[in-house]
Amino acid sequence: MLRARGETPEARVALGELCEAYYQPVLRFLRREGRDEDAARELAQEFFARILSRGGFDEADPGRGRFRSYLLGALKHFLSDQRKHGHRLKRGGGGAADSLDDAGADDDAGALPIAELVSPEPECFFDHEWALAVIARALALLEREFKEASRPEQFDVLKPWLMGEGPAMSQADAARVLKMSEGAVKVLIHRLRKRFRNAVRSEISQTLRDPSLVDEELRHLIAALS
Amino acid sequence: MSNTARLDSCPKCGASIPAGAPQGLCPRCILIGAATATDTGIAATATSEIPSRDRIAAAFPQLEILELIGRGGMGFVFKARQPRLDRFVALKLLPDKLARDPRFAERFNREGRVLAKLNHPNIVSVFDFGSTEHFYFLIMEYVDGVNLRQAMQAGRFSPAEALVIVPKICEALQYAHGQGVLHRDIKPENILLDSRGHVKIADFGIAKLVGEETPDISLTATGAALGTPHYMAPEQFEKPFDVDHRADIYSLGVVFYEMLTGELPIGRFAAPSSKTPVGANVDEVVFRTLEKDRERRYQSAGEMKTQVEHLSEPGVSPFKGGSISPRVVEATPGAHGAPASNPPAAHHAVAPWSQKAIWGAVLVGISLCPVIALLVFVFFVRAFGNIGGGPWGLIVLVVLAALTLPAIAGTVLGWMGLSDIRAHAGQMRGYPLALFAALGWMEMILFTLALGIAVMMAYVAVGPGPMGALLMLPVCAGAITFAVWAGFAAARWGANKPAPGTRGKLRWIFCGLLVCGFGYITLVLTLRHAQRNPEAADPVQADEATVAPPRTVPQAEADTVPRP
Repeated sequence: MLRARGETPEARVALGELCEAYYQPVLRFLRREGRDEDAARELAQEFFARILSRGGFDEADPGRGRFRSYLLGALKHFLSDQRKHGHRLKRGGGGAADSLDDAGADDDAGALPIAELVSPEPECFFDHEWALAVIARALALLEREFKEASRPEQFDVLKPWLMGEGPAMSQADAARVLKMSEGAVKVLIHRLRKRFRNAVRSEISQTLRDPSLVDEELRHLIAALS
Repeated sequence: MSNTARLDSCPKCGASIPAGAPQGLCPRCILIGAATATDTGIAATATSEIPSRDRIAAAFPQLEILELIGRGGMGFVFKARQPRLDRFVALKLLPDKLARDPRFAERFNREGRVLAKLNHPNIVSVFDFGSTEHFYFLIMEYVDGVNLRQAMQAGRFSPAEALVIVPKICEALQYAHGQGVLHRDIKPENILLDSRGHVKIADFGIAKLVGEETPDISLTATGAALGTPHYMAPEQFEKPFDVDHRADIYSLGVVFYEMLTGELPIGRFAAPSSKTPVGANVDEVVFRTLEKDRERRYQSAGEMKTQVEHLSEPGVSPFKGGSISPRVVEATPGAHGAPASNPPAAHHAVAPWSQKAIWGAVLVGISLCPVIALLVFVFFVRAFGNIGGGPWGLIVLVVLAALTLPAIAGTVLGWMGLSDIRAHAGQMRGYPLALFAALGWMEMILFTLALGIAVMMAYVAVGPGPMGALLMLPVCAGAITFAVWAGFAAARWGANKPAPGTRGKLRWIFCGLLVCGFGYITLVLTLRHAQRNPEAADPVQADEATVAPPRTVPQAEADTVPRP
């Protein structure tokens, strides 16, 4: 996130990376508002295009140094702009939500689809998706590392232990499958946990202006998953 | 792969795993796992990691491995035998998983080096340490006995035994501190009692050399085994990098408290004397070791040892109903942890004097002396010469007025000093002076008042009749009783002592005073009777003069005995 500030080309690239990383939560958020896949995708593209053209998030700091909060704030702003300028039909396509919207007054309430009733807080949904994205990225990184070390099967077998407990199979069974000693499996699990922990933390710290807030953000994400 | 089949519900929390979960893993548990230190898993998995005896035997051909006798965050301890030396030893092993972690290995090596430097009868000796292909190990003295935790659970501790054990631990700590070694994890599990009653401290595993340069965070942040929360001194939480030997003193205080009461001193904990038959002097020592501020604790284990041993000395019984009752001890200002009576020299050097107490005492002393002299003088003047006219009354008024200022100032300073000393919990000198300054004038006024009433009673007894005097008697006795109570209450307050519940005593004082007063009135009436019988007057008068000199005689004499 530090890299992503300012007007340098480097900052552009870094911001682009971050946006790419968290494309999924944004897309899911838009989908949740009742759009179909294509419409949501198109809207997300436009949203990110605007973020990138504006050149980063140091002009204002609504998220207090958190990329997650910044992105959600920008997204809401973007959506309300969309509604105001009546670009819905052109940009968003004609989903059920949109037709409802057209029929009613041109305000935010009309855009709220059924999903809103299930979980009243759009922020919670966004944070939930965000947490999943963080985990997915950290896991993908680990998986890639194991692949590069030509040990993809180890990752597949051992990853359930990242949850704290193994699945039905015991460590001894895992050792048999992997043709290793049980002791070696234990060490591998220990290392895997540690590596995952570091991966998650570094992933999170990328989205924070102040890296010392990692623990706080981690707690927030765990709460969002509850 | 077959074993990567999606799980429907999380094996950890049991919640169903949502469809969008990355890699089909419970997202919440996996993130919680990432938020928790990786090392906390040790304790949970330790059971399955006990190395098999065959493996150990293969690694240590020079030992006969006998049985597993303990395990903790730092490894496993086996009882073993050295056949050639025909002795038992304790073999401590680092779990092989941890042995691959350089951080743990470093801690282990540190424990060995630190322990090997210590040679004391109350510290478990280290014979050897090092590493084999699979294990990091320590070979230590085998202690045949139990640890303090087991002993406490067996319920074999009396306060007297605690008072024997604690000084031994102090001795060992003093020695280790002298070598620059802190224990940092004093707890009942680490205090061993052998079959012959010897006390030995084990596990200087987290000991850290005093004065070592910048603390290595990776060594101290591993959480799991570093320090046991209930026994840790406050500064071990707050400033873990600035811990010194006084943290051990605090931990030992917790152990001491637990030995006495069977409970941990958590929150606002009760005094040991309210839980077990010990005196307030034991409370005092325990409270001092448990001071949150380490500056207020005993400053060395040796000092603590002296104090604890002093509790067991003849004449200073630590027990209720002993040769000196706690109440008597409490009434002696010096025993309030104030330095007047018997603190060791080291303490004398650090405790400052309360300036306010000194100046307060000086002012009160200066102002009180002339007043007492004046009172005595006035009594005598009125008794022997009849100069009680104009100039004397004026002089008395002027002197009293002149003394008001130092008297008030001294009293205020005395109370401020007392409050300071109280805030320093006995770590400031001048407690008796402060008490004198704070109470001198108040008590003086109260007693004078009571005596004044007594004198008035003499008038009343011979004037309107004995019934009036009898009515005033409780007032007089009440004033004196109140003066006594106020003195002790203030002394207790200054020394941070709880109320001892001695209301009963006050009742007796009050009754005693009533009886005395009654006797006094009877005496006055007898005198009056004697006055009417001139034959009996002389012996009674002589007798009375020896009984209570300045208090009653002058008045009685002046009014009842005709002067020649």
